[in-house]
Amino acid sequence: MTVEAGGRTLPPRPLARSRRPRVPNLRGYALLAATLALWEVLSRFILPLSNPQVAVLMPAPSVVVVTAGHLIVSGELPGHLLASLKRETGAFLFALAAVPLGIAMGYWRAVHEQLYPLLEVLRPIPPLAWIPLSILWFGLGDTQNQFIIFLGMVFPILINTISAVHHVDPTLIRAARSLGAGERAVLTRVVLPAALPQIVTGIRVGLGVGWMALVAAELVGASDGLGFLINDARSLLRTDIIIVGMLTIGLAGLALDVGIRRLAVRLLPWSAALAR
Amino acid sequence: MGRLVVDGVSKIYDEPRGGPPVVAVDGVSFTLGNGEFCAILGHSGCGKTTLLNMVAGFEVPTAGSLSVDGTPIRGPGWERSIIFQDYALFPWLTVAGNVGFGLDMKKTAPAERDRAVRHHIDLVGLGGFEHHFPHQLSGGMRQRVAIARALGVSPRVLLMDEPFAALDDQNRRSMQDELVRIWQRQPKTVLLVTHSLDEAILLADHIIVMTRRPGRIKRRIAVDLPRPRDEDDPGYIALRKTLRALIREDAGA
Repeated sequence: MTVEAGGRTLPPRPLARSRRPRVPNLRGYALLAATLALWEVLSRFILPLSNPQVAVLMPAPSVVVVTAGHLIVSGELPGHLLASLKRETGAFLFALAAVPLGIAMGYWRAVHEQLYPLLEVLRPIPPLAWIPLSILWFGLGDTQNQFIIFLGMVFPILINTISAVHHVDPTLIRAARSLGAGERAVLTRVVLPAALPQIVTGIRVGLGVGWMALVAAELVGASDGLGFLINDARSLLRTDIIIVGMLTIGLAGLALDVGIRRLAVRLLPWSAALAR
Repeated sequence: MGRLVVDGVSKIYDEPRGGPPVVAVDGVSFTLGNGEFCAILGHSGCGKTTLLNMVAGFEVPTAGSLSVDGTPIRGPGWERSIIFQDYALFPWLTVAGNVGFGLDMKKTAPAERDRAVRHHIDLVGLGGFEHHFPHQLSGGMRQRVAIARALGVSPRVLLMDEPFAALDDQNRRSMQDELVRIWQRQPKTVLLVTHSLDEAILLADHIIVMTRRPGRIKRRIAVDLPRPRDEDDPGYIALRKTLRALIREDAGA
């Protein structure tokens, strides 16, 4: 659909998908509800009778909800969530260095030639495999944690940025040059914006991988954060806290991803329209 | 200002798999005076796009020299802005942003920049669409933006590479008329590459017919029909016949 030359009064087409009236479709949640109900019955009535020790390992959903309420009111859960988000953010700021590096690698063949083999060797090493070495390097604590998270983030961002630059339409670069753009203007005003949508994709993936690495890093070497919370609860046999922690990790990860996606649609409306 | 001199230009590509080198353009010379509209006509593979790319500065000739107003061509620049077949608009910029891009590169003063942007958007009849993004426009409108963008930097020579090939027949015809109207209001030296006989006759003062492999100038023909040109005019029909014969000869060879 396009705006024709005669129709000057037509407003720009709204970029958001057309909104259908939202009727909550509950049918899709039927199995989930049934599972929760079954779980509740099992944990509350059947397990305690048959094997009380196992019952401790599987708290009822209602118990989890009550525990979550307590943890939120006491400020314990928000505190740990904040600690984790702080680590994620700190590591992310460092990992953003992958954007200029990726642009350089995507744009200049010589840089690519030199750095790509190094990248190929380092990338398949899981961030968690760095934990032992990083503890020796940085000691236990925030720096070591953030290093692990950084490693989880940096490769998806880097790989996506390189590929984004490789896929910039060469005609756009030619057009810019024939309009008088020098090397610097081509990089900052053509290559960067053209690559931005895929860079954002890299950032989304990176934040996700970083979030996974974060929990693992906190399990090993932290005194706060969601990973610490669930590991600490393990030693106290508080399975309800563990489950609350796990759900929080999942929901926070989801919120992070949805947030970035919404932000991208707002900041890069043209890219959302092109992707359709 | 806007005299293009192409002097003995050849372009030879080395065959990567060790075959004989390919002569894309062979000893081409011509001169375009200020304000002349010249069409280079030929089959695909006759080297016309290679020639245009050398004028644009995207490619370096193997032999010969090119200059605009006496200054040798070394690389691309705003004095030779170009209109591409697939528009090549920056999708992240609005119509005004696209038209202003080249003016920013030239470091035009803000007031003068805004004036030039408005003037060129009006010139191509897109007033009211300044804040639209390219994806919100039709193909014909996108090509108007590309024309405004290329003219906005006040090039000495305007280059066009099959500019209307991506449009449907009706749109192409109206864009050709539009281009003649714009060119008559703001005369400019234009070098147009096309494979369409009608496009060449409708638009150009001079038509350079090229042969295929090696790409050489077969003939240069002056078009002295009054504008706007009429396809039913006997002069038009005769010229079309001549051009078709020239092109056919080459295809048969």
